[in-house]
Amino acid sequence: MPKTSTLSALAFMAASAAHAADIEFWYGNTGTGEEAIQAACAAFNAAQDDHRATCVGLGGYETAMQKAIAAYRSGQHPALIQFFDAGTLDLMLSGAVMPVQDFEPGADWGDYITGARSYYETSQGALYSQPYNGSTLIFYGNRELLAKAGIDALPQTWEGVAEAARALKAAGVDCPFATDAHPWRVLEQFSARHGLSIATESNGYGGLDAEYTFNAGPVAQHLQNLAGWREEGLVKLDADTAAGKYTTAFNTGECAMMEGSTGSYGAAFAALGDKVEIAMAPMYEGYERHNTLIGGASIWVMKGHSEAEYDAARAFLDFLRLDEQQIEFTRATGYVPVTNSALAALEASDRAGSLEFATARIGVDSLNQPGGADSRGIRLGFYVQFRDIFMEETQKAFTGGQSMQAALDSAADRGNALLRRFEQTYQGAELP
Amino acid sequence: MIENTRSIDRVATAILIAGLAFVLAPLAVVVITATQSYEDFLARNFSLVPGTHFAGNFREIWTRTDLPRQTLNSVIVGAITAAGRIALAVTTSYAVVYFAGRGRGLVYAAVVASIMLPLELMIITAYQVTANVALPLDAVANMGGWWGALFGAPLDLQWNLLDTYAGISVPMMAQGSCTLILVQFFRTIPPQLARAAIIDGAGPLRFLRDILLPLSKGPLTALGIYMFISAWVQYMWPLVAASSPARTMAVVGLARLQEDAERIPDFPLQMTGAILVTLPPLILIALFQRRIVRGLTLSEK
Amino acid sequence: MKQAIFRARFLLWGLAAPQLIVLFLFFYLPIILAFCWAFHLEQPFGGGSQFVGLANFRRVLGSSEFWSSAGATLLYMVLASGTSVAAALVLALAADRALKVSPLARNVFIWPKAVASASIGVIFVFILNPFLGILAPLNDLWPGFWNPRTNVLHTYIMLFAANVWNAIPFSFIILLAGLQAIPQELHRAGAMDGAGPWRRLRDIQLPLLGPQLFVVIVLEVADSLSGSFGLIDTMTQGGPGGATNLLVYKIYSDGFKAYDLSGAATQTVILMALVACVTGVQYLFLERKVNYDR
Repeated sequence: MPKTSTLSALAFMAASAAHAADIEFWYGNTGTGEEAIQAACAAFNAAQDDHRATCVGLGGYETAMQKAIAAYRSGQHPALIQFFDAGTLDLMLSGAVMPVQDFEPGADWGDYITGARSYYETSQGALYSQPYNGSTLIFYGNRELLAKAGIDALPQTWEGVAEAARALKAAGVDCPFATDAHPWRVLEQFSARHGLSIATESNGYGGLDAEYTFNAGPVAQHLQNLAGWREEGLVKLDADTAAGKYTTAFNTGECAMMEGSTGSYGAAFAALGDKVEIAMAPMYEGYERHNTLIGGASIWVMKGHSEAEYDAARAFLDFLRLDEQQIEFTRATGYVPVTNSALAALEASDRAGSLEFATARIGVDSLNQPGGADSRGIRLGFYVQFRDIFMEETQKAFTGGQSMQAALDSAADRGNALLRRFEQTYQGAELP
Repeated sequence: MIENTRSIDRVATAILIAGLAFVLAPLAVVVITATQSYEDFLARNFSLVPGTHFAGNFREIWTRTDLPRQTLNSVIVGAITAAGRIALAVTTSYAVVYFAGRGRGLVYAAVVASIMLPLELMIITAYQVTANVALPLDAVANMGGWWGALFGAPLDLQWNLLDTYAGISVPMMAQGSCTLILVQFFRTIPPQLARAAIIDGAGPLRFLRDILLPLSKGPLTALGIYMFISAWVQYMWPLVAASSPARTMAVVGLARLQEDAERIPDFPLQMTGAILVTLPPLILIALFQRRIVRGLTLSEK
Repeated sequence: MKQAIFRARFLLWGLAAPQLIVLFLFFYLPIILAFCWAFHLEQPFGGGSQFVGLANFRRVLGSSEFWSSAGATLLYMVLASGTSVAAALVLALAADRALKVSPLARNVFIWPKAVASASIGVIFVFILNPFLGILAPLNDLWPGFWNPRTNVLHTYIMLFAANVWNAIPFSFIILLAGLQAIPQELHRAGAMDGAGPWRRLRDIQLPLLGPQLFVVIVLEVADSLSGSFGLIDTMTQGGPGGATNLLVYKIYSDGFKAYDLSGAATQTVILMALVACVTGVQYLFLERKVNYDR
């Protein structure tokens, strides 16, 4: 008998070896996010012997995409790759990826919370990538500094933010509110939760012929307000802070309030502990609150690998979807759980009330507000480039080179030129 | 000097001292800041009072960052690039100066033209070529589809050099200034030497090995050191050609230290890193200053 | 080319081949590819590309941000090379005199050669940090006195300061060597004719320094362009508001961060043409004035 058992053991090993594969997963996060991804990778490799995942950090979302493009063009791309929200349309049309719901039809994709799904699915509802490090925009306050001005709750409205900022200023806080005026914050999340579109065709979900429309209306008003508040000394941009970055300025106690990603919570909590107070991002009075968009990034399956490698990729995706994996990831980073089951598991656990998980409740709450056709996400071509254009133009306005309205008009013009070129580049391609 | 020009000398001295201050002051600030601890720095901000934390900063650079490894990468890439550039320049300039043939003017022009446009200008497509060096073979094979007609499928060779030492250094060798300098140097060597060698029965390669190379040892060393330093201080190409921290060069690694978000930048640590990254080429410059200067000025006459 | 001694034609090509291959792959092929992409719309993932004729050029040349970037590039080339050559010239003239500090200066002025432009960027951005750097106390006294992060003029001052620091050695070495090659007799003769030191500077030293000045200017103009990337990437990232988004940096970000391969390639072609023009103009106008008679 010992002989046969040895044999069958050998056979089993051979069988599993046939399926076993090494895969690479490329990601862009750095800092706390990177540590958490590496930890997840190590946990996956420790949890089973069949497959091995190597997680390769590329030092930034944009670099990751650039390397992926070069790698794909020369056939050396990984099986799995993380991409950030703004690259969604480029990838959907690239012909380089497989929709994740076709790749793994057995998985319960309906378990993903709506706000997380809608960004990465087609207008018909086909999910293209697995939401991973999901974040959204929330509002941060420094309890200690707010107390100086006698403020005991974070303002819910922008009017309230301005009022609180004036009180803080009067109480000697030099930097009441900090932002970098990045379009993710002041344009995309702002428009989504106010129920506004930034471009026609429901922000591009309806077709490649979309056009930017944000330069008239509340977004323009909001940016003009920000510029005015900055003149008044209520708002500081990155360049105005000693730290040089709004999150750092908040974490060091230089600034009392900021609007930031839930993904910034890990570092803020590590720096300030229970002084950090968070809430949903403020609205202007008279608007109904809609959902905010999911930020962060999702995982895409790239074409051109063997079935064995895809088995490993499925195993890895399954592993990352596990409730406890998501909860651990949330704890370490401040990113929000992206499935209902993980959220329920967190709520049911005794850690639900712990401060480390504060973003999970508020972030998911914000993502789950009633939505509309304009708050699903952004599906616009060369969107990464547009973000740079938006930053460049508004920065000129903030530093006095042009009026805010002129800045937004020219950002929209330049953005539309990009959209037309994108349309032409993918001539004949059908938006899925 | 000819006349008594004390006042002019005084002005000149003042200018030189100002110049020295301008060059040395930033270096002094780097060294002083590197001795301060992060906490001191946060408490006092900018200060010219030296601290006592240099060893601590250095230990942190050594153990917590990739800079030591990246410094080694710089040594490797610098050496490969310098050796490669010298070797390519020696063979080409030898061919151009000592060989008759219709092609040599063309060769020389093709090489010298590359001085005008640095790699930085064509970074996008140079990156693409490095991502697949077999690109021209594929293109030729598939032109008109003859390869596909013969072998059933279009040729699709892949040879990615990104993130390898070769991929970082070989594109930096594609620059003709070394050849220009060496051609000018070889032309100063009396042709009688080569004629004598021929009479002695030495072939072209023997002459190169036994006579020309030993004669050029001085300029070649100076040029080699200069090229090593030039490769060391490159930034843009190493930035895009290498992505993994294991292949990144030291200067790029230093710039990445800047990106540590979430807190006030640890300037003492950055400045310690700057010392590590700058010291090796600085020592070379200080040691071989005369030679390098002689090599450089030789080329300009 | 009077030394041609050997006649082995195969050996000529054999010896030149390695360098020609390297040059073809990493110099000529990228140029060809840039031209190719400039006339196509290239999908980032290589899914396909279509010939669009001059459409890319029309688009690039029709956009105002390209022109402001090109203008900034030219301005930077002129001012950066001008300031650094002028500084090196003054230092070389001073160091040419037999002063006590001359030997030290000759040694020290070469040191910046060992410092990468990106490293000096990291260093200067710290020293000139408006809140934590050497000028921070002045900002406390007069808020807004110095802020290179928002004030375009301050940003450029910071860039030029770093560039001059970095560019001194090369020009200094060449110019000093040129000055020292001027025979003493000429000085003496000039002095005997009653020409004072300033007069001799203008009539003897500068004209005779022509070849060196020419070389230094040509190389500094080219260098200021490629060296600008390391400074901009570590100091300004093209800001504030795109004011320092020089073409080299713009091409990098359009191509690598925005996946606009065709647009980046088109600008590459234009930039190469621009550099070729600037070099050509320099040859036409400067070289004529250079006195090569020694």
